[in-house]
Amino acid sequence: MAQPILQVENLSHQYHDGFSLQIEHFVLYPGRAYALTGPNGSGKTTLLHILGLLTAPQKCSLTFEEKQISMANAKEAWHYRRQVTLVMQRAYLLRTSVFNNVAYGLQIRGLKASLTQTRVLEMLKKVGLTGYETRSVHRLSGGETQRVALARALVLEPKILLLDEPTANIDVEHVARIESIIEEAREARQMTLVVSTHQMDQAYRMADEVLSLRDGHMLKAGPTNLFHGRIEDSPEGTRVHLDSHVMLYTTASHRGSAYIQISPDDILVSKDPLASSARNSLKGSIAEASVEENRIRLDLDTGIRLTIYITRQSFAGLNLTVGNEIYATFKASAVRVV
Amino acid sequence: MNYLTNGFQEAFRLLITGEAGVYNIVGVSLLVALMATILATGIGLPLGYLMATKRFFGRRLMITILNTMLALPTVVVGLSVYAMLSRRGPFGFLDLLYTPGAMITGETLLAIPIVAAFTLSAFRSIDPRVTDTALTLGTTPFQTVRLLISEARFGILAAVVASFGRVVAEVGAAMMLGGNIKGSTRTMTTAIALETNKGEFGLAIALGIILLCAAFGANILFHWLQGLSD
Repeated sequence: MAQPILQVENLSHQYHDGFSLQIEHFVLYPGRAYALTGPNGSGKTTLLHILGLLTAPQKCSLTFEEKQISMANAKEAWHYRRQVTLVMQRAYLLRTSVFNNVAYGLQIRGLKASLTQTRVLEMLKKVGLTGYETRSVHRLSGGETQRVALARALVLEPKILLLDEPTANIDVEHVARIESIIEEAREARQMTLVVSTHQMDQAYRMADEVLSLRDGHMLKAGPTNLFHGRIEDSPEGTRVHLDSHVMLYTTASHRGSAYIQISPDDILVSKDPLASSARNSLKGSIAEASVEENRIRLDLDTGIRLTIYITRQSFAGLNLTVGNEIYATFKASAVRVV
Repeated sequence: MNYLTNGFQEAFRLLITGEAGVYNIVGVSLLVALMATILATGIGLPLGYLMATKRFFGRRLMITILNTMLALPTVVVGLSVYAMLSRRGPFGFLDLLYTPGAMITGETLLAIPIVAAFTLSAFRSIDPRVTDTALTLGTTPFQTVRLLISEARFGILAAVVASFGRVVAEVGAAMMLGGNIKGSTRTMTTAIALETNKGEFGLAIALGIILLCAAFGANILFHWLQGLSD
């Protein structure tokens, strides 16, 4: 694989309200698309703002194209921002026309007026806003505003494009269009894309790699044990019927279609059924066992593919091997809606 | 009532013919007001920007003083500048008293708080996302400031118009510092005061009409600009 375009090490940032973002290691490769997923308040926007150098974290080592970036160095930060562009969730448009908004970034880069005009008009055409050039931004709908903001970022052809919930304020019928505009631009320019979203289906549509944030921590290897299903009430309790016909109990308040996730650390492994208060117990065979850091990762085939982490001692103590049939037990509260 | 009718007749005659130095007086007024507005903008705009965007020791006190100075009596400014510029004052050697220069100095001091306070308010009302947006688009620190000024432009223009309106209609400081010398420091307001005392209503009314138009025009512009910024 190519050299990383961006490398983040030992990121630590804490807000006054106690929320903290802690990421040990995070790497982006050129031309790849990453989706940042996680519930509201998991740190997606904070991470994007740190990557866009809008928020200075208390601690972070940032390497862009093999060069260490010091956030305190105004010149370095400026040079970086010229190549890494962020589109905020609630994008702000300058109080002028649509054309001037899209042209602004090119103008401050000293591009010739004729070339600026050509590129702006081309970009407005791509985002479906031809004819809007002279329109004041005050007369745009939420969706149009977001498309102008996207055009304003894409026209700069950044090496990394950071998008914070790019379709959050867009009508459903325009979502596919926005996604295809982003995809086309990325392919044409080999742009690295980081898009935050809380919609798992969108994350998988747009990204090569899905990263998951939870409570300010990035879950290793993205969202493991992520499944889609329907949550319904039953006399026995709230249940989620997964698409793979497996049924699990949950304490989630959401009803209807949802993505659910079970943290690998919340699952207990045993050779026999456990007599416990945990409401979910699945029997399956070990499909794969591998060492990850100091732990053993088990992939269990139970009708759904469950990833479980156990210690080396537990693995040895239970005398487990690939093909063994074991029980995976977890509480209803471990089945969380993403 | 006859004298009033005659006064208006005489006023319109003077306005048409330009006799009695009407347009010279108007010229002095506009020159002093424009120069004072330009100087006050040069000082008040950066001051308002700093107070709105930077956090520094004494900032709150500075804002309180600024707001107090908005209601500063013009004669107090006139008196202070007079004390500074009179022969016995520390700047007496400049020999500025009873010149348009002294009037511009006084009017500038009156206008600075207006420009600074309105500019402070204009920058404070800017959407907090502007700076972040500018940075994401790759602006230099200078370009960021320029963009902030551009986003606050209607508020800043309103500040300039309001300060012009204040100084063009001011009489106390202009009288004390200019001395109301015909052809040199006589402004519309000082001339109106003088002519009214003399019972020469014609010239006073003519100048009053022009002054009213100027103040009215400035206010219309001010409200229009405020409307644009809302």
